[in-house]
Amino acid sequence: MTAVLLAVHVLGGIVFVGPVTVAASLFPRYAREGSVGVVDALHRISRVYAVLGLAVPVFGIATGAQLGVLGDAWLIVSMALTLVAALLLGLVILPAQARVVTGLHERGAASVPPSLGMTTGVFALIWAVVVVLMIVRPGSTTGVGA
Amino acid sequence: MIVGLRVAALVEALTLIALLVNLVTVHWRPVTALGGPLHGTAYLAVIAVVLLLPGAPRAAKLLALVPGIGGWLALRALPSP
Repeated sequence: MTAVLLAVHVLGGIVFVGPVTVAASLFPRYAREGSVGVVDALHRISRVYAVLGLAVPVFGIATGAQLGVLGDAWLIVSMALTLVAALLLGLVILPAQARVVTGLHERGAASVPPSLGMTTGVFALIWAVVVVLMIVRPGSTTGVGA
Repeated sequence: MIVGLRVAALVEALTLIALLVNLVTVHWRPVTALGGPLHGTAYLAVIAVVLLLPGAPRAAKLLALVPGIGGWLALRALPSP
């Protein structure tokens, strides 16, 4: 059963979190160009796949619980980083996107805050760190590292 | 997003029923192992969708937090489109 949980966790990471990362990164560029259709689609992908992506930490914690590794440092750090990424997405990126989308629809133009591109960059970087932690598992005897 | 909320609300309720029925009857391990995370995802998805809905009333946001039937309660609290 652990294998099924882990498979759902990894599949969710690729299929749900991947698109959010790409859509959020592309959003500022197309928003500056004012392409309303593209911006709408990217915002929709960011929102919908963010909700679906909730499956990834939930199935990840279930996998960790079955393996008995929830107390391992690499997993605690990964969970903390995931929480930071989720808060960035839910409290900074998605609200900023929504303001740009509203501006484009109501006034035909919207100022894209320069910080949005930086925030999406940090969001993507966090996933890179979490994936490395998931593979190397520093301090664990089951990782590929050490 | 409303269609998504309906699906999440349904999954939230059905998985909880399945988990509880399993708990008082056969205790079949795969139901617990898969149903638990599935229910957890649906519960969080309901809350996230209601929070992301523009102009969702405060009552709907609070009702979404109710375990098991939160999605259904939130759907009822949302203004009909």
